[in-house]
Amino acid sequence: MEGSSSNNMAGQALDVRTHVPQEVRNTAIKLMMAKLTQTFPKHFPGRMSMLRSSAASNEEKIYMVATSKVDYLLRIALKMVSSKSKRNVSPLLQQYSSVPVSVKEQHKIVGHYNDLLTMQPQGNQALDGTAEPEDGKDHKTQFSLPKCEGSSTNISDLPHDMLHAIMSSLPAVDLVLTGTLSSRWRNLWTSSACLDIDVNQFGRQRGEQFSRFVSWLLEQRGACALDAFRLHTAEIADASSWIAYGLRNNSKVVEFSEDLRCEPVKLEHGVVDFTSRHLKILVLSNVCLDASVFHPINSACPALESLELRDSSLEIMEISSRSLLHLVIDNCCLFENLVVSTPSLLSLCIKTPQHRAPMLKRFPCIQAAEILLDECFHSSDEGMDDDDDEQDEKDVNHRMLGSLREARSIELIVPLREGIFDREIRLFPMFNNLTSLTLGEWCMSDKFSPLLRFLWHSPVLEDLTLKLDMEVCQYCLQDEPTAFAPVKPFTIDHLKKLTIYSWAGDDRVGKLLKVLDPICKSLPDVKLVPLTTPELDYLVSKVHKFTGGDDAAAAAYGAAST
Amino acid sequence: MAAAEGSDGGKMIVLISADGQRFELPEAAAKLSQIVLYMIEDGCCYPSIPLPKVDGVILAKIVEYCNKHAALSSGADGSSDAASERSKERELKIFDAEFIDVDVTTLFDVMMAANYLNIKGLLDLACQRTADLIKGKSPEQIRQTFGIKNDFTPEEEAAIRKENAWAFDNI
Repeated sequence: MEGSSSNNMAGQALDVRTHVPQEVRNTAIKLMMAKLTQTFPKHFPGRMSMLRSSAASNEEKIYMVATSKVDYLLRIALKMVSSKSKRNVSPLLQQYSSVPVSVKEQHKIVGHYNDLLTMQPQGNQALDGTAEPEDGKDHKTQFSLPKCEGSSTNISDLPHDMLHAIMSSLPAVDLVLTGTLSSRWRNLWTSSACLDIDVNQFGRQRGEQFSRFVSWLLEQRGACALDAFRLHTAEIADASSWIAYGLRNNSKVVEFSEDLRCEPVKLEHGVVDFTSRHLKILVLSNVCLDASVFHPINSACPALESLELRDSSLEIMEISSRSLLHLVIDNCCLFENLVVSTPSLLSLCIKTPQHRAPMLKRFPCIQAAEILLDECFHSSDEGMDDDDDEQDEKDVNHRMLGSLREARSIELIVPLREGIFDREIRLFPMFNNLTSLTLGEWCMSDKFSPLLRFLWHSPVLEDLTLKLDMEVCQYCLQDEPTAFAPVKPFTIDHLKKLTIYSWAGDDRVGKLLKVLDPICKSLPDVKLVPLTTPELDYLVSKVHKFTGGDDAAAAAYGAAST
Repeated sequence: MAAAEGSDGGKMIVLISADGQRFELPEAAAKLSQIVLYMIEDGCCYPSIPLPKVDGVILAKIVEYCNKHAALSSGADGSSDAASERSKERELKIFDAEFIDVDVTTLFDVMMAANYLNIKGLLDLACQRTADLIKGKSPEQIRQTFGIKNDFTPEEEAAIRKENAWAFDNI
């Protein structure tokens, strides 16, 4: 028997070991592990290897001291019972029997012992353990477990951590109501690690009552640690202190949104402190953020990976978190020149910023970028009156494309006639990693110069998508693409797919295809997708319904959709 | 101890339930269970893995779940474009929804087994389903659904009612 490092043990135990076959020892370890897994915290890192080594060392100890095979088995059985009763975290087992503990324990020892005995090969012929045990006989009585006693599981039998796992998917009101089910549930919810509080659960009682509810709930929870704190409110007064609660209790996820029908919440410096070692995901919607409140997000959140700012007013000068991987700035008002310089950033999404676009520093790891500027940006930009605008703008323009030069996927949609990239286009960077590119119709302006430049500078491009919107660009129409010959010839070896979204009957598609003719010829996959949006179809059907089908408006909608 | 070969040439693992039923499934499917994965890595999965905490009816469900998820998530057919990924995801979602639409006793048996076998996806699915059954119900309805005994004294209940008055009366 290759019974491990036991050779140094001499004397009486020696012959015992030769009588405990390795198969039995393996089975014993396996059984002990199975016991341990029952009682050990489930998501503990390195749990399995810990349990294995612990089970193995326990078994080894018993193996070393056992005086006979029977003694070995009995000790193993005892060990399994004692390790379980010590931890005393099995409401499951208590549930199943009204037998006094001592008797039950004894019964279990005998049970384990019998199980172990039956694990042994019968007689001598099967000592190598390969013989297939007869099914139903060998495993039938292993462990005196509840399941085998014919009982079925009830919600009250579930251990606390599983009830907490269930609770983590419950909205706050339902969560609190579980406290009224029975005495076991009475206070369980207060230690649930996820809070999802939504004012919309309150119907018309949105105001004072909601405030009272949230304050009461947080008070009941006290300082119990949080994993996720999600709060959607229509209440301005206490919002800052509620966010502070989530941060204070080490929540990894903090999501706050103020109802869009309400004024944005001004996050108060001194009330909200974003300093947190645990914060990983932060989502803020419809808030006002100023530099002093925002500062810790840059410098004191070492675990922060994802930041989403939506529908908010930003009076901040920089976003510079070193750990940040994902950044979304969606529909925010930028009151200051905002510089984004986050060296680890993987994905960036900037949608419809107002007043100005953020300036972007180079992102060495960037994978995907989505930038969508609309007319709103354009018009309010003109209203700016700083003297050094000219310089700044040049800076922005240059950096918008240059900062994304490592990206694998770019979606870039800017307003027509914006000319935002005019200057930068002369300094066009190489996009050596770019495989997927989506451009708006602005790429057709200036004699298709933006489109052509992207094609010239993207040597590994595989997938090109062009989205032509409803508004027809006067400049584009004036262009005569037939008269236009590319200055440089271009071949795109890797391009596999071209998709053009457009309204049916848009004659710009023909012009586009003419320009792209050199690459279209050899392209395996060219797709023209007509823009018949579901929303529009829905509107048309609605109008038809209201008017019985023959109304000028309906006809107009119908015409627009075809 | 030669490994059994499945029809597709992959290794097959044999699981044995508490009541002695045998279940044979591909190694990739069995590995969805962290416990079984560990046993496979450790080489103690032959000739079979006894699962004394799981009875046959439930283990049959678990095996069904693992087979489906392993078959659809492995990308065995080599196609990995976004469209086919999405359709697979949809198929899994539909499968999950039908799979977990069971009576509460089975639901908790599956949950306990998923916890014991450490199959995270299935455990999450069962927990989410339970939460969905709780959502929007009154305490009495929840008690009825899950067979929870109200063990509060009338005085305690009155106190709770008073404390949570806003929650009961106005939502």
